[in-house]
Amino acid sequence: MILKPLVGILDDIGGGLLFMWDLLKTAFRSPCERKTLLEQIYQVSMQSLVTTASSGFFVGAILSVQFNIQLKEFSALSVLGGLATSGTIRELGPLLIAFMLSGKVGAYTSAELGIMRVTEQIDAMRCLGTNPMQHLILPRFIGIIVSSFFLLLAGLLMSVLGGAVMAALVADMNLMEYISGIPTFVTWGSVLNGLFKCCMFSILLAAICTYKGYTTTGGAKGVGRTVIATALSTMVGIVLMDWFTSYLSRNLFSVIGVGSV
Amino acid sequence: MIELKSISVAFESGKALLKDVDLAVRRGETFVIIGSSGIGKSVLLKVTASLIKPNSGQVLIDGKDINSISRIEKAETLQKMGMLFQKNALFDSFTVADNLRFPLRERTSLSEQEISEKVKLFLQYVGLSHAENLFPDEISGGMQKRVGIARALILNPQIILYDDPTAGLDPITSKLIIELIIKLNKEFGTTVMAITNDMNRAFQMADRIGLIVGNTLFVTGSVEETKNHNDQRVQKFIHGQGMQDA
Repeated sequence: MILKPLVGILDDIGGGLLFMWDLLKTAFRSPCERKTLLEQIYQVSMQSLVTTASSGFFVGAILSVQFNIQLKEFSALSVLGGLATSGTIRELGPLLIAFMLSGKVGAYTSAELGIMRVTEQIDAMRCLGTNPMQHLILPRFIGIIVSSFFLLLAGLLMSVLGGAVMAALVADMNLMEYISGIPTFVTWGSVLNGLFKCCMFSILLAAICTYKGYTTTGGAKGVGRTVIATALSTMVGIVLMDWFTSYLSRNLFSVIGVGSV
Repeated sequence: MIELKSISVAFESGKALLKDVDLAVRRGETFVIIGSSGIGKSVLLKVTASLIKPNSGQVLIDGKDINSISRIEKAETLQKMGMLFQKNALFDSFTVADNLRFPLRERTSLSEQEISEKVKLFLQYVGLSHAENLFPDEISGGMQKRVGIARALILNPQIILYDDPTAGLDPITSKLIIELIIKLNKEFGTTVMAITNDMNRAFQMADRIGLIVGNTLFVTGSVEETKNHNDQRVQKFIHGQGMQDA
């Protein structure tokens, strides 16, 4: 009874790992075309830019309001910009990008590949002597990872702006005052931490949505199931990965001496 | 040209779908597989196209087992084959012309000008010169089928696999599609393996016919031999009677 879902999960993880191994071999043996890859990066970035940027703005604003309440009590408003930006770059930024990409790009990619699978378009590609891993999966996989960095940057810039606007409204701070506190809290360690998380989340998301889409079976219902499974797996996977990367980066960055703040 | 040796395919549950299927299709021959729905005809065709790996047995194309040769050899062998899928499997985000351009861009070193000329020629062959800029969902089922045929033929394959080429088409369009297939096969001299449920179309195009029954393929011979076959199962299928008792 309990074993059946467990076997299903293990089966999925095993299948996913084999799929990734196949993808890795393809990447070295026959890399995808630059044009297709650039198209994917552009498409993924454009698909999520507005939502990521606007969410980033409001995350910065929310943190600014919340920290403002606490810091006012200790008369430490000068560190508001630093704390809000550090929180965004270390934790909320990468997490936000991952959730945004999961909802938009993850679902879109798995549905697109799933439909191509059930309508035999992927089989047709193979019959025409082309490798679907090279032409379909690899550009989407790399596209999601590269785009996530652009989106992280956009989200961060907007969060600084959102935080600064809110600081001006609720704490009567000007932009320069807000920004001047940032270098105190945002160190190379926190930048690396944010980039590391962003990278791990996007690899996980790209792996799940391409694998789920590529292995879809069962017609229209099957595509529906794939999209749900992708959304669920990516959300749970991202939270687990967040815990894992937080733990790992705390130890890793202190070992290599870049600080963990 | 195509040889299937002791091919067995089973469902995940372990239940056999095909068991010890043997078949040899000669160069230039049109071999048509008939049989009830869900009996494993499409699976057998996909095993031949290397889209499904059999549980046991060999698929020999020009003497080479496609499941045990190197990746490069396999790609070269598969390039000798073209396939028309039951639901056409056209790339729905590409126009009709781009569906035909795709294999030429990927598998040949032709220039864009040469590719465009070849695409025009093949669209002319299938009577779709007017539809080159339309998307698959903007054309009828019969037209989609013709695009599928043109795409399967555009790399000049020596072998063509037709998975139910008249599925979902009206009798007149079905007849026209088969006439087109016969005409193009004569023109390109291809070896054909096709499956269908429609006996009229099978008789129209086949050199030899095989019936899948009881998990295996039973070669019934030429059109005349099939029509006059003394096996009850063959006669029942030809005359549209249930196969359960066969």
